[in-house]
Amino acid sequence: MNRSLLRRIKRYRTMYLFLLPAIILVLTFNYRPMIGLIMAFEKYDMVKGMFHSPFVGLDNFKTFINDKSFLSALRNTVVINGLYILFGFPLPIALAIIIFTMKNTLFKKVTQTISYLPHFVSWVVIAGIVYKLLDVNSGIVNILIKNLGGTPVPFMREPDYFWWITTIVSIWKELGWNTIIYLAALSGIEAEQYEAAMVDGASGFQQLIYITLPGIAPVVGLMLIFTMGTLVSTNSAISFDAIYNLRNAMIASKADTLDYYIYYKGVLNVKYGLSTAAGLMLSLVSLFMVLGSNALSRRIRGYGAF
Amino acid sequence: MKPKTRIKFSTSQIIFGLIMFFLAIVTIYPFWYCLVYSFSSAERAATTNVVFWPVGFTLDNYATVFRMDMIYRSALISVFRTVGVVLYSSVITGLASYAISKRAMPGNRAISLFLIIPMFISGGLLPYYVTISQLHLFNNLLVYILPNGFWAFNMLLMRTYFDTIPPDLEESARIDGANDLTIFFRIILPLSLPIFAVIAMFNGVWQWNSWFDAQLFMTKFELRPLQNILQSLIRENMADLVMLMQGRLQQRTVSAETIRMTTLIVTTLPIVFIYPFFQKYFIRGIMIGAVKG
Repeated sequence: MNRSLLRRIKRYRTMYLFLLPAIILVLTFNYRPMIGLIMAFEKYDMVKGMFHSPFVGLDNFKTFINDKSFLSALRNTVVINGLYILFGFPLPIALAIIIFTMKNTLFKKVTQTISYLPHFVSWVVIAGIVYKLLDVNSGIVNILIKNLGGTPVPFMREPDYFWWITTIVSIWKELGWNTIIYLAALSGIEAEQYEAAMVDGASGFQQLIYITLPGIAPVVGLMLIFTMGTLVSTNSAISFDAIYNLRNAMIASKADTLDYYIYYKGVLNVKYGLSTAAGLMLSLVSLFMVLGSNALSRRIRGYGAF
Repeated sequence: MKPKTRIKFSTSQIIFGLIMFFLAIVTIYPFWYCLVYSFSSAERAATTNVVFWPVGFTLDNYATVFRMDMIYRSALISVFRTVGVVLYSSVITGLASYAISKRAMPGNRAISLFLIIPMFISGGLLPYYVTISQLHLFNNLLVYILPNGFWAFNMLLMRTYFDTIPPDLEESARIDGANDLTIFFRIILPLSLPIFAVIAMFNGVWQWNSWFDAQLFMTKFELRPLQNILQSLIRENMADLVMLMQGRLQQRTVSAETIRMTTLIVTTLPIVFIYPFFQKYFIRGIMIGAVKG
């Protein structure tokens, strides 16, 4: 080590001290659990511990791949996230354009603020509301159906409604919040472009097609790639929070996702090896998808997110 | 609004206004419904439809909820974890972000990478579960605080903010003989209050709404926060148990359903009250993130 480097390190010694707590935390709570990934290749035995349990190779992976409930969880994950991306992705863009085009009034400010609110409310609370509103006897939705002459629907007791309910509730919760990133992009479009277009007599629709949409296209592209990357992922569009709180035993066949499978097998069934293996595979798939979509973005647009 | 300006609104403006109005109603109504339900008499609510106003107005539901000991204990735990993590993570993230904003520091890239990698790779649920158990954090209130001090995403957000502070300010302070600690606390911190507010809000809301860690690591029910109590009321028969214990089974104004709705309102109100104060900050926070992305 040469002298000037030593001197530079010495000059920044307080900075290293500033970093120390963060480094210790990340080591303890992020890197240390990664050692536990060896459980994925073991028939984990709590008494023998992580380093002395018998090694079983890829047996755990074979077990869950042949497990019917794993396959059903995989299907549910892909379908629910797919539905969410299909409908939940375009809506915030449309709403952001509407908000951006609206004249600045108190009305706009108030409604916009209200639209962010559900983002800050916990899934425990949201699920409580959903169960109440959709209750087969006293829920307001079924009262409405009855008043319109229909028969009440047991929404939270029949598995077939779950995919749609989860999608709609998740969109409802995050719609307003998800407009913010597009509003940021919209406010970056130069006002001169709109002024010039108005001088040339462009209609509002023409301005939308030729100025607004191209103006936010890069951000839309980036967000789309990121969202696609979460199709099968541990931080998927529809969170574990949502699934856990909305599901119940009656509708489990359509409700349980991979995250839930990992939780159920590991924590409730105490199959540490199996659960770790499934988690590892899910983690690898989502890493692959993030890196893959980033590479795709580099190829198509010339740059990626990182 | 002056009538003069109203005339200028075009058809599209009116349609957009209607869409926003509809959206606001759809957003607010479910919460409003729970609110009026919590003020309704259980007996009346079972026979009359609750729609816009309470039926058979009563405060008995609130009396029941506020007589539950576990409400106070769990609320205290919720406040503890929220305030604790906000303070703790502000210090840790603030210090780390400031150091990481020094690009000339030897090893900066390596340390950044080390801190950012966990954003993309993790051990997963079970290895984390085992780690917490090995650290003896089961049934230990510290499990709410210790692991939640640092998230790389917040560090990146903060670093982007620190980059906008002119370096001259620091240099002139250094010439005046200020050391790193003085510079951080006297110059950087006062200038960065908006970003600290954003991150405090994100952390605060996230902690207030958390329940899963408590369910995993707190086998003792009395160590769980408010969200878990609400969850048990909603998903299990705990509400009936509460009525039994308080001798309210014969009371016609209270039912398991009204207890649930009332607890739900009590759990959500703190967020709703704090929300208007913070909403100007979070938009700015997202904007900083968006510029970076």
